[in-house]
Amino acid sequence: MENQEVFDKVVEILKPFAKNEEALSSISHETSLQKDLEVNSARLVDIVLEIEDNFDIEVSDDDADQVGTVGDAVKLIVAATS
Amino acid sequence: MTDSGPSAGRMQIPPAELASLSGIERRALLYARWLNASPLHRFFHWINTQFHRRWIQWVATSRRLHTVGLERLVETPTERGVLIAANHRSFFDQFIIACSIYQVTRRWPRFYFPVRSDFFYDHPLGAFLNTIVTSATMFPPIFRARAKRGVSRSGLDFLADELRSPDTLVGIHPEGTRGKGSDPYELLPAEPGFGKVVLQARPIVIPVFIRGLSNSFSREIKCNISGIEPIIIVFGEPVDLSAFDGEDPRLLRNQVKAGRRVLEEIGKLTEQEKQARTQL
Repeated sequence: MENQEVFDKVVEILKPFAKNEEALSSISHETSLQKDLEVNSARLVDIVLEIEDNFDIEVSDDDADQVGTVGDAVKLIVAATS
Repeated sequence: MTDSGPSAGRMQIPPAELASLSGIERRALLYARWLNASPLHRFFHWINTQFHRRWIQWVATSRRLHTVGLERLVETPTERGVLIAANHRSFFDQFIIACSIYQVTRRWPRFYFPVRSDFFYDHPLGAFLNTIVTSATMFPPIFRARAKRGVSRSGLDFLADELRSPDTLVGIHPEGTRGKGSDPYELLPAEPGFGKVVLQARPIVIPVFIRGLSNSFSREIKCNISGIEPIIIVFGEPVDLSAFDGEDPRLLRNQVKAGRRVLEEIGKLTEQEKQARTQL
């Protein structure tokens, strides 16, 4: 799967969880899920589970811990699907 | 105190993870770890269960505590450790649950309840209280900051290791934080870290529902003097975790499922609690 395709899908997954609309509109690989998008820390697990379902992958807790930015999520997905 | 050399009952902390902590956090953690692993531990355990337990119960709960199903806990099998999984509304939940347990049995010489690091591991007064009142059984600490997650993870691995021994009792709140909503029976989602401990160690998990405590110790004392505001603790049957046989404990999804399973059993105990409350 192409990086851009993965990125677009990840953005769609993040939309319902992001509280900061402004950060969402200018989202990039460097955008932080908690600091910029203001995703509630309790919802990070839900995001990872959505990613698993959407991309048909399994994520370990160690790998989930590494996801701090949108780019981290994309990297995780690309690694798991290649 | 240095961090070198493995030994039984001693939490392993890689130096790189230790370096992520502030000076006071590092000292508080290493001190608590030393206290829990030292030969003095048996003496401090006696102080906790025979001295601190008695005065806490006498001043705060002796006239208002009611337990349901405590005999089930005492009769649980002895081949591995026991994990008390309780709902969380008050700072004092695990204290009072532990006091009620150690009033009827001395079966577990090792007792831990992990806590958020705030105050007890980043403030001198907190570290002092952890030592004096609990002999550092509020251990290991769970750090919120991402940069310190490695230490939290080492702590959970330590608990999972300890729970493989039948000598160990651990008290954890699966929700990870206090419920602050108006409904005392509402449960928050379980933290994945809780599910990880359950799947790694496969301890005997006892679900517990507790209601009646506030966050003010002086209020608890006043209520006890007046004999009002009953505290009810319901101990459930061991949770059947056979559905997780063979499941990989490292997968986040499995950790979430295990946590949900246990929370489900805690939720079922609310009916018993309500029934007990109406019968008072």
